[in-house]
Parts: sequence; structure tokens; C-alpha cells
Amino acid sequence: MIKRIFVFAAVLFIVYSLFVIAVAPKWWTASQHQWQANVINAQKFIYDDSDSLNHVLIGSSLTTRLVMDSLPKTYNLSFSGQGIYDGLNILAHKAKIPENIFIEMNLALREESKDFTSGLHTPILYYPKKMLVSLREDKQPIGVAGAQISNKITDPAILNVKTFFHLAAPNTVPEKEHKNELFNTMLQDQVKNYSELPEQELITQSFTTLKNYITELENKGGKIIFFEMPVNYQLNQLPKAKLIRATFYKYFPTPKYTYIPIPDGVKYQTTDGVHLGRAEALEYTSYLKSKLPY
Amino acid sequence: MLFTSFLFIGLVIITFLLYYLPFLSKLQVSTLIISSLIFYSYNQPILVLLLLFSVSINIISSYYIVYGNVKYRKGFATAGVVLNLSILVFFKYSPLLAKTFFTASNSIGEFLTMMPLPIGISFFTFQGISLVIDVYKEKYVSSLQLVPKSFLVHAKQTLFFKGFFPQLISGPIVKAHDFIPQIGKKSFDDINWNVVAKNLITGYFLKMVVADNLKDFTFWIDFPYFQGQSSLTLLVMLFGYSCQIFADFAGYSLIAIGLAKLFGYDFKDNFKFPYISTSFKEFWKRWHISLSSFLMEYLYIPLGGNKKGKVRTYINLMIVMFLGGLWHGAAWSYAIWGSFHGLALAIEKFLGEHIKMRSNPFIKIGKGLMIFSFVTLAWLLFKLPDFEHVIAYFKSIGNNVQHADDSQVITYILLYSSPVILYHLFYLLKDRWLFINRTDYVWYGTMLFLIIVNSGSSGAFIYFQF
Repeated sequence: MIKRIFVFAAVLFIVYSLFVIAVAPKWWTASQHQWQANVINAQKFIYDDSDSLNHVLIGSSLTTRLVMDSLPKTYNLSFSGQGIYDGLNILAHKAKIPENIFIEMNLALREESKDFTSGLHTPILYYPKKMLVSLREDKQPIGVAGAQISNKITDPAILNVKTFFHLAAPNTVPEKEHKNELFNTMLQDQVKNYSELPEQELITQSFTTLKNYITELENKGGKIIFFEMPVNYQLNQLPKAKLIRATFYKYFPTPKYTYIPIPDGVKYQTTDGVHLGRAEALEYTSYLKSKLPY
Repeated sequence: MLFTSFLFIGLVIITFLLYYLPFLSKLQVSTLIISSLIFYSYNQPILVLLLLFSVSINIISSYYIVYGNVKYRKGFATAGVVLNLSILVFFKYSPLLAKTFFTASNSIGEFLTMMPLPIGISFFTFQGISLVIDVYKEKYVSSLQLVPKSFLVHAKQTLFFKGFFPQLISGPIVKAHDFIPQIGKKSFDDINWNVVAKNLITGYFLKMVVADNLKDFTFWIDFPYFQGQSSLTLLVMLFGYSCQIFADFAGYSLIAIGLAKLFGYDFKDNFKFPYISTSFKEFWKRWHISLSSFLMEYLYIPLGGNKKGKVRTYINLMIVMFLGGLWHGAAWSYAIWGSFHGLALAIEKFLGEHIKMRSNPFIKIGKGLMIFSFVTLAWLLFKLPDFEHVIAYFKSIGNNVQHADDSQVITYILLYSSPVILYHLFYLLKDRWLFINRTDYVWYGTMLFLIIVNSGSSGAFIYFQF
């Protein structure tokens, strides 16, 4: 019995691995949720040995909003719910790094997610996943099936049937009002957060770590460029934002380091106070592109 | 250390190899004790001292119940139980007592709030109580079978009984009369590999593929995220959480049972397909059986059970379920959860005595769905320990009918919950659908395949917090 279990599992695994490599259609990939999307994003960068990437963006969820079609040969190594140190850690592990490294300034005080970065580089997982694509998160069979079903459910034809049976209603006024109310609550939370000054110990610790990473990347030949993602205009000049900005200039002075500041006088719309909406993200991406030194 | 971590698997392999080495066969129990202490000390080394202190209370009290002055037998038993409970109350319920009786600025309140919660304390405390009571009452086995004459042998056995790593931090709650008589030399040839493999594969599948994936979608039940979800999404998330909590805990229990069998020890089943229950009474005979049987044997029956009249029976039921609820966590919401089940059991008992219902398959299915729905709604108290958030969740279910459904969350929850439904369905139909038994290896092989290619991100077991 036990032999048959293992043989059957092995056969399934071999067949699936061959399918993923040789037969699977292009759409055979899916990220099921934010955490998994972060892992998949990191894995794509880690296992990419080609020379096609010249630039890399390191950031938090704020930077994930950038429209990457507008930035050729650039990889967005930003992670929702996480900070810049995860991207920097991944970059530091790479033997060959891209020429220009853009580092987001906004969330420099958010600590590294050790579980995330160590999970990516643990030898017991790193090498099997490098060699066998079928083991990677974006190839999970239930994940792919779920994405396909989910897409079908949101097909207009099915939505029409659902509406007919009153299973799903179109967006109505109360929904919009609810969103406004929710937005104000979230913005006020951010105002509160940006008004509180962080402890000096955290600032020193974070910027020392950042300096170490930057020294390591510079030694590998990378050029560092700092940029600040726009947030709601009410937050820009609050104590925390000003302090973080000033600390960057103190640790990494100009002209040795290049900065791309937020554009003057532009009031960006956000979805929750800090994350840009689709149109605003596109607008800022164009601005960023115009400021690129290459 | 999680059962799903590579570190743990390494520890099990090393322990297993040493355990069955012929020239170390006399040290089998010692090998397991050392492994268990390494396992327990991995996250909170200092709290091993608390575990040892708790064990020492049980060693001394149970030994002197048997070999001490007969006059003080009851005194030793009482002291053993009270001290066990005192440790539990002090470490587990201090923050709750602080919140309830002291203001935020009060120094005693602050001190109590800062108490660390030792992992598994609820489980090993109950095991300790079972030893003291089993030795004192001799209801199941003679006390001499549980407490050998040699104090050192007794100490070693008790440390092993409470500290054996498969059940140390999240059960099943193993009773002294079930476990201690099993202690002895074990042979490699006696391992039933089929049973070990079936338990481990099912357990790891339920935990890593079902529960660990579901947790990333039921995450949105947390406050304030649920407020933006549609009514249908909220209901599906609740259904998903019900399947997740089952997969998480039943998965853990099956892994624990499989691991124990690997070392020659038998734990009783902790779950018997609880979601097929057609009454609350049946549910509690199928869900977390080691806890419900503990509460029955060591609390409900000593309180008088159903032998002291009808009113007293209902009161006993409520007391047991209230305390059973509070055992789960230091928050009043757990007590409410327990009381809800107590009330449901009481009402069910009352109705059962006064209304005779005919039974047919449709009524059974209807009852099963009703029990599942009530049980599922009550799980919300586990996910949202703040009672105001529970109320807000139910209000959102009523108010958010017009919101757009989150098709991704709904789809994945239904997909990852389906193994839990199939698991119960196969059990119900296994006598009619004989192919299920004949093609065992297909199901277990598929589960093993999915463990390899479709596991979710590793998450702590829900019951660790208890």
C-alpha cells in the first residue's frame, strides 16, 4: 500500500513537471493573494539569470503601483505589505546586479521580513525550485485552476445572469458613500501615523542597515538613486515624512547620491491616503521616466 | 518549532534513528524526553523551566498519593490539582484578569498583562490533572500501574508523559491511564507503516494544503477589512474559516497520532468527521474528543453529571461548556462561545425529552446542515475575540447585500474547502462506494502530490494560542 502511494505521487509529480515545462499554456500561472504575489515576484527576479535587466526598483506597496510597461528593462522588486530591506536583501544575494538601483524612500523604517527573505534563500527550497519550475508558487495547480474559474465568474455574460437573479448588483450610490467614508477613516489613520515621530533608535538602526546594503551594492558596481513615491498631499509635510527625508540626505548626501523628489505642487489622488490610483500611478511613472538619468 | 518546518522534520529523523538503534534501546524514553525538551525550548527556552516545574508538581503529588501517608492522600490530590490550575490561571488568564479588574495604569494590572503565555500550557496542565486524578481515584487502572515504586523511574515516566513532543503543545490531551501503561521498549518491526503514512499524509495535507491556503483568504474576516466585503463573500469566508479550523486542528492531531505511532505509542482519535453531526451532542463526541472526554470524565461527572436531577444536569452542562470555552483562550468571547454551545446542548436535551421527531434521510440532512451552520457561526468568536467586531460582522452580512462579490476570495475558499467536504462525504459513503476503499492509494498519492506542489505559506496552528 505505502509503495503504491509513493509511486502514484511520483508519477503525478513527473507528469505535472513535464506538463509545466513542455505543454502548459502561457496562462498557466497565477498568484492567489498578496503574500504569494510577493514570493512569485521575488522568485522571478532571483531565478532570472539573463542579462535583460538594467534597472531595478526597490520599494514597498507604494512602488508596486508603478506602471512597468512604461519603464523598459526595469524590474519592480517591490512588495506589498513589506519594506525596502526585503528587496535589498534579495539584490545582495545576486551575483550580478542591475546597473541602476532605485530605492524608495517612504518606508525606510519598515523592518525586513526575515521569514520572507530566508524562505527564498533556504538551500533546501532554493535549489529544487530553481531546477523544477513545477515547484514554484505560480505553478500551483489549484492556484491556476482558481484563477481560471474566478476569471470566468467575472465574465460579463455570467455577471448578467447573476444580476438577473439578483445575485450581484452593480455598484450603487451607498457603495460609493461607503468608500468615501472608508477613505476618510484610512486617511485620518495615515495622518496620525505620519504625525508621530519614530524613535531615534529605530532610525539609527534602519539607516545603518541601509548604508551597509548600499555599500555592498556599490561594491558590486550598482548606482544608487533614491526616489520618493507621492502620497496624499496632506501627509507630505508631516513630521515623520520630513524626518525620513532629512535623514536620507544626512546619510546619503548629494551630489554623491542622486535623488528624484516628488513633483512640486501636484496633488495626487490616492485610494487610501498613501497608494496611488491607476491613473495617478501612470502619471507619476511618466514623471519618473522623465527624470531618469539614462 | 512547527510540525511543518524542515527543522522539525530533521529533529524527528534524528530522534527516530537514535530511538531504534539497538545499542541505545534502553535509552528510548530518555531519547524522546531530550528531543521533546529541544522541541519545546526552541522558541521560548526559558519556559522549559515552567514545564519542568509543572511536571515536578505532578511527580511529587502523584507519588505521595500512592506511597505517602494514607491520611494525606486527599490532601496531595487536592494540592496537585490546585497547583496545576494555579499555574494555568496565573500564566494564561493574568491578562484577562488585569483587563477585567484593573485600570490600564495600575501597576498590578500592567504586571499581569506582561505575563508570557507558555505555549501548550492548557494541554500539559490538563494532562497533569489527569495523572493526579487517575492515581487518586483508580477508576481506570490501579495506581501502581501509573506510579512505579522507584521515584526516579516515576519522575522520568511523568516527564515523558507530559512532555512527549507530538502532543506537548497542541494535544491531543492524552490521559494518564491511556498513555503511561504503554511506556516500554518498542521495536522497529512493530511499526505499522501504512497507518503511520496514512495519518501523516492526511494530517500534513489538511494542514499545509487546506488550512495554510485558506488562512490567506479568511484573513479578510479580521476587523476592519470585513466591512468592505459583500454579504455573500462574508458568508463564504465564514464557511471557509469553519473548514480551515477543522483542517488545521484535525490535521495537527493526525500528524501527532502518526508521529506517536512512529515511536510505538497510540493516541486516541481526536476528530471523527465532526461536520456530519446531526446534533450538538454528537458534534462534541466528534470534535476535539480528547478535550470533551476530559471535561466529561474530570469535570461533568465529578459535578454530578445527570445523576442529581434535571435542573442540576442543565447547570452542570452550562458550567462545563463555559469553562471549556474559557479553556480555549483568555478572552470573554471564548466563554461566550462555550456558553453558546452549552445553551445549545441544554436546549437540544430539553427538546429531545419533550418532542419526539421521526427520522428520515431528509430530516437528518436538514439537521446536519443546521448544526454545521450554528457551529460555523460560533467560530466567528474564535476569529474575532472582540465581541463588538462579531456584532459588526453580522451587521455587515445584513447590510452589504449590494456590495460586489469578491469572486477571487469566493472561488479559492470553495476550492480549498472542498477537500474537507469530500473528507466527510467519503466517510459517509465509504460502505456504498466501495471504489473509495479499493483506490486508497490514489487519494493518498494525490494528497502527497498536492503537499509537494500546492502547499500554502507556513502558518502557526490555530490551537497553539490555546
